[in-house]
Amino acid sequence: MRDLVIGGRTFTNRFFLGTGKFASGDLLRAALAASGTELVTTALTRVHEGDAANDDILKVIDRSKVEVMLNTSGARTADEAVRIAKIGKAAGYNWIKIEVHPDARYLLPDPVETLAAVKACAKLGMVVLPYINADPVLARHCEDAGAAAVMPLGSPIGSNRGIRTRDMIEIIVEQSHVPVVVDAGIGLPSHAAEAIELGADAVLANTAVAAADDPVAMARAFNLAVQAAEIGIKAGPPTARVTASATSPMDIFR
Amino acid sequence: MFPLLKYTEEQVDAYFAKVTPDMVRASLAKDRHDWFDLLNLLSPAAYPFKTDMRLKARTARLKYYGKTVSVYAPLYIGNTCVNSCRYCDFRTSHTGTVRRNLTMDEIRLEAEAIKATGIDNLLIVAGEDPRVNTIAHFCEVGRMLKKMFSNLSLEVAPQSEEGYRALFEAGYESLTCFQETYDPERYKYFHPAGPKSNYEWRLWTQLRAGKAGFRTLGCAFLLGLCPWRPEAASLGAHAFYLMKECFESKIQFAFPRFCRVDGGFVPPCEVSEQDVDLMMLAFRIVFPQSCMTVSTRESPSFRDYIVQVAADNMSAGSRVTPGGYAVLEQEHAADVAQFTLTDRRSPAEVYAAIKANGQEVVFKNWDNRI
Repeated sequence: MRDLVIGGRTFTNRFFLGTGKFASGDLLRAALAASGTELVTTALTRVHEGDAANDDILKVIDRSKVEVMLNTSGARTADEAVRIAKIGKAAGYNWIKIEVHPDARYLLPDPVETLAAVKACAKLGMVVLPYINADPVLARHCEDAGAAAVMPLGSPIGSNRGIRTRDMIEIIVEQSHVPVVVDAGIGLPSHAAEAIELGADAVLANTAVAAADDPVAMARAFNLAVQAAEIGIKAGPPTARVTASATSPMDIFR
Repeated sequence: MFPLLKYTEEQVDAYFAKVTPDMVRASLAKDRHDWFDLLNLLSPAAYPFKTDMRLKARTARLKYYGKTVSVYAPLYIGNTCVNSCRYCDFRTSHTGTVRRNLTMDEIRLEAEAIKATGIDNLLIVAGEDPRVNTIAHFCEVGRMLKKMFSNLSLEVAPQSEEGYRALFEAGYESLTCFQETYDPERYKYFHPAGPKSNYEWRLWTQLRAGKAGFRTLGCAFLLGLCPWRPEAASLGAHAFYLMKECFESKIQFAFPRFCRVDGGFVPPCEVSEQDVDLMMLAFRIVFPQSCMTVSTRESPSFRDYIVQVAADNMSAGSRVTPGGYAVLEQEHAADVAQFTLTDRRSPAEVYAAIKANGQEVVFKNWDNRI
């Protein structure tokens, strides 16, 4: 399994966490610690990015340990996403997750606008991670446009339906030169493990943790599940050679 | 009924009467719901399943809104009105209401008082009066208030698509327009004169606003005017229609209910709190991603309960009088409200109740710089 390096930063933990939907800042803080995460994503629309010390969400995140990737959730066009990215960048947040989902019901990402936003934000010198449908060709286009990683969905945001796009994610993993982060729809620790076993480099979840009865215990469960999957892959499962070889397509090229 | 439905009120009522417990069970077991599932869950047969409905609604609410409740406040900028709605204290013939349209300075004063309570999501409300409440005026108000609040919503008379485009440009992101009743005949009775007597113009308001870019489209009927089951069925059909035609806009439901007040309008078809509960649970199950607000006309205990299982947003510290937050206090003038509030808690008390139930208060969920 390749090391996880995004935007020049090496991550030892492959579980990323979203910060929305938590019942309180204290719970978020405890869940962050239990998750072991080194990258969180926060909607700019939810925070006062210019006043992090007093913001309910930002004040509980220790930026010396955890990378904060603002996201453009709520944007319906590339222009809106880029405006959000620029506001974040001006406040010192250079990592941006591009989320352009005009579809109000399922929050499915708009491929055309997303790609345009990736191009624009990459030109600004930002570390850009686009949230995309599990479309292998779009993933390649995003990569060419300067994405530092791609984030295909497992199923619609918040749906907790697990990885319904399995076949397409396998192709994205096989073809991608940048890290693949499975994002959205991850409802259980086993879904997260499944994503890693499919060959994804990392997994991002939010609802499954924040909406759990015990978010802190659930954060720990995700942390352990992702670690277990990683250890399992490194251990070389005898029954899953096809999957295992697809996880490291670059190995033979050095 | 919602005019695009191919069923009459009699047919819908006959359907409600024939729903069996098994049909309710089947609808509850589904992952995706259609209009007939909504009918099943609104039917008399659904009452014994309220506990199951509550669980299912709560799960859906958790998935899409987590353990958070968004808060907002209404700002009434004027109550002169050229309409004659039989139930409304803003109606032309109601001489008991003191009429007032706030000046820009007064609007700013009110907005500052609201902002001081932590509210960052503002709903602008006004009576229908083409002499003062013009698009140009709303735009001027929007441009001023957009600098102060992260999100602005609008609840005023229906406008043209072009008008909505201008309002969206000026900073309004969300729109609310209650249809009052989906029955054209009863609509005519309750709205005998004035521009509001035009049923069709009002009915397609959300469609025009959605096409003009509005992000949230609020829909409702007035609970108490007409038998509620066919109205709720129409509301559901209206929502399904809008979700298809305006897929980029979120639908927001409200369930404003008339409560009997001394000397006030007597609702001909009173709706109980139990019925409002059933409706809100059914709509949350069938429209899991949609926004839902709980009215200030409901009791504090009901509001505190329903935001845990169905509604995702609520007003806090509402004043339904132009000048009610700051201007009137300065003048020691009498209250001239549009309707009677049941939840009279201060914003701080509402926030405390939300937190006590293990939920986080969300003030900001949009950004005025986008």
